Amino acid sequence: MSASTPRSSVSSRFAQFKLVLLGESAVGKSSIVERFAKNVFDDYRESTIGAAFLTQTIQLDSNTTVKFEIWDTAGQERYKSLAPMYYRNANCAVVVFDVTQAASLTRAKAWVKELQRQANENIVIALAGNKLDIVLGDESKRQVTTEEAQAYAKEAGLLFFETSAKTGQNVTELFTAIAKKLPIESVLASRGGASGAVGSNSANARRGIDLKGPSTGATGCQC
Amino acid sequence: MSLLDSDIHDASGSSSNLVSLESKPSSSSSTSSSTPPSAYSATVLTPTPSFTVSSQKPSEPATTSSTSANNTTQNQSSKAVEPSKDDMQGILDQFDPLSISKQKANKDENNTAAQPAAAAAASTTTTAEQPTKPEASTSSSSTSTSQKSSESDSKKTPSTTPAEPVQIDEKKSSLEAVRRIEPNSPPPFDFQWFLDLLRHKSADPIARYLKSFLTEFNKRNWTADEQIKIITDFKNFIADKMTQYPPFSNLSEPEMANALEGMEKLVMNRLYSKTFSPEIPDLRRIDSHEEDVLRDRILDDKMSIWQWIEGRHLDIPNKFLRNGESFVKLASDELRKINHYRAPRDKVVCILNCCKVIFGLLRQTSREENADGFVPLLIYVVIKAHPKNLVSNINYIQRFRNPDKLFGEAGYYLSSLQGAVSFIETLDLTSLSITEEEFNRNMDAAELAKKKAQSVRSESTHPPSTPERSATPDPSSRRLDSPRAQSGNLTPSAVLQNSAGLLAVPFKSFTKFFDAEPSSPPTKPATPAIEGTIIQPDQETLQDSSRKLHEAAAHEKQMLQQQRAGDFFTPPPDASNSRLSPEELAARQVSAEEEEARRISRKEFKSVVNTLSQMFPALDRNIIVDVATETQGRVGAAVDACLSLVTE
Repeated sequence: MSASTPRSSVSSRFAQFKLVLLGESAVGKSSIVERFAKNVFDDYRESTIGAAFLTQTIQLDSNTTVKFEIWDTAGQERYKSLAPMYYRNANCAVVVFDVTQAASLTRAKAWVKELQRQANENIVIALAGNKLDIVLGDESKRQVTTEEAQAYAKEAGLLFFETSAKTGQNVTELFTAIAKKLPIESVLASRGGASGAVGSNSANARRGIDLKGPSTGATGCQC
Repeated sequence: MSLLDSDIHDASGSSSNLVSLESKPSSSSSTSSSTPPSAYSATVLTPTPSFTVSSQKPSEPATTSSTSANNTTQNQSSKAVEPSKDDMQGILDQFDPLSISKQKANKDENNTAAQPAAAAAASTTTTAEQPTKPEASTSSSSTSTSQKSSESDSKKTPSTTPAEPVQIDEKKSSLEAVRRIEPNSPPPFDFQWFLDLLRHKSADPIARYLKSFLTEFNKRNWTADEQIKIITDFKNFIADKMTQYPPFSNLSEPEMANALEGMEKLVMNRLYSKTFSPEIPDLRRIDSHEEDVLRDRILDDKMSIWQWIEGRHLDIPNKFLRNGESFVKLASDELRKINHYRAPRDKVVCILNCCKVIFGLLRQTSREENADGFVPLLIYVVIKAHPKNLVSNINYIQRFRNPDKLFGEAGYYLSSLQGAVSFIETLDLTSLSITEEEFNRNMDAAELAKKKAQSVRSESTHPPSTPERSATPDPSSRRLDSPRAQSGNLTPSAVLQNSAGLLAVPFKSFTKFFDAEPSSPPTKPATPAIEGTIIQPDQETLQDSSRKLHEAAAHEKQMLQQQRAGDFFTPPPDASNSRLSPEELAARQVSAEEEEARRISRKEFKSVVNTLSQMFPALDRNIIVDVATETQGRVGAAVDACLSLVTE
């Protein structure tokens, strides 16, 4: 399942989507992805430069394969202005917070708001409350209740999972749920039945590679 | 038509199967007027009945027989994954004026700058285990090709850079990389292989479409948007044609992908002087191209100012930089190489190599290999690297790199670089972890140095300011101006620039500032044609000698630009007596450049060894020398090799 997967992936359906990973620094964004990568196919992890960019493929059913291109972002507040560079043309996003840190949910909400305002119109957003293992061991450490996060996710129209990158709980479920929500059919259709591609339409692709727009946009909305 | 005629002449001198542009689409003459791009591409790209393939079979000029024979042998072996390096070098030299002297210098030390990535990786691995040369890089010298390459040198502008950046090991395990060059794996990108294919007799139509396209493209000035459309259309068109004519039509899918990469590289190498903003002469530069250059200047200015920034100001954990400065230097060097290459793909490889080195640092210092660690370091590296023309380079890549290739990993790191650029463009006190006091102190020092640099500048012949740039005409009126008038006028970003109180002239002086050498000799007057190009008249430091070579090359490059714009395959010298004099000039120049390049190459090798020793204190210096030798001084591969040695 490399990037050079033949366009005509035999009889099966194959679609590729860009997933952007957002959240504060210490919430375990990259650990979730790392876990996901280990859980699903530990035989192949496609990263040639570094782990900030990964691809991971999941098999939705016997003939549907979804490949995620996972774009990690810097979680530090200082670098939030860079985020638009990463989420433009993203098909889906995982916004991560830490269930033991109430502030991280506030930050996550800000990300969701920004995504809904500025990212692709049909972006699928999943909210992940990470570090579930900690609160399962000691419920007093919890600062964000499941109900609270669940209610927010429902209101904002997000998928929601409480995850543990450490134990792997709900990690695969999270990505599978996203994959199921993605418009695989329309991607396949727009590609004439061949493999879909990130960005899912070439107009976006073209727009997405215009440096001026996004960068001025990024700076404009920041300060 | 005259340009076309000269093309025919050029081509007939070099390679028989490309000779035969006997007629061209009759409608294409209309393109000299202001035909919209779509009409343009239609006329140029649509084959007409007169554009026949069959009429040019046997006419092989006597002058080229040796070259042709050579080609034939190459063609026969062109399916091989790893062609002989000397063959490759010879051809690349013919094609890539930016490739010559360093390659030749490298050759002396058994280096092949143009080795494909996999070969580089392979040698890395071999080094780690036993100090023998991998097969891919030991092919013996062919006298005829090296001679040919030296002949073609005289035709082309020399410079210090290889034809193709070597991509740092594409897989984490170098074992995998070795596997990749085994018979069953898909072939790595190989420009020379593509050129060989293009020389096949049966590829004539492709070559002629290409030549016709290049000729037409060069006939007028296009805006960046028009260029994107025209070039994209052509790439689609030629991709389709390539499926129709052998040998391309017989390629497997991965091979075809490589051939398309080769086509993009060839086209963009050829059109560089028209498409890369700083390369376009000031008077002809309009619209986005002009904006690129202005943004370059602003960014350049900012990076000059921010040189005092330390890792801690960006919240880079101390552990990264305590022993990481050599990594930073190496990553910076890789990034700066972006100006050494012309093909979008090659420029991307420079960016990826830079990022790879940063991840090398992350990997060696901690387990955290994620964006939290990467992004701050990238910003830091960009500031320290202070590469020229960064905005122009990024925009050039985005405009002309195959969009399909800008998804995925390359897209990620390009976006990260863009993010770093935008961060630097908007950087202020609030972006940094710094007290106001320290900030002001540093800014004052930077200002002082800036003034110093300016006063040095104003002592030189350059006027303190240019009226066009300090004035503030209504930007909305400029679209109506002629290109000539526009060039001196303000673009939106120029307005931005002025509103920031930053004038164009001080920026130029800042090219000196960044090397923190205010005492450097007064520069030559910066003529408009030179300003903003990668060939900055700059200080004479040794570390800048590669740029000096560029500079020395600039003159001839300009001289040759006209003819290069039209010609396709370079004729051997004896076929073009009419241009003997510039060639001789060039030849003389070349030998001097070679000498210089050899010296630089030796110096670079030493510096790579030193850098590696600093980065990997745990490794024995002899091992590092071995690694550097085996990786032929290529830092990317060398770092990988060292990393694997350290971590294993």
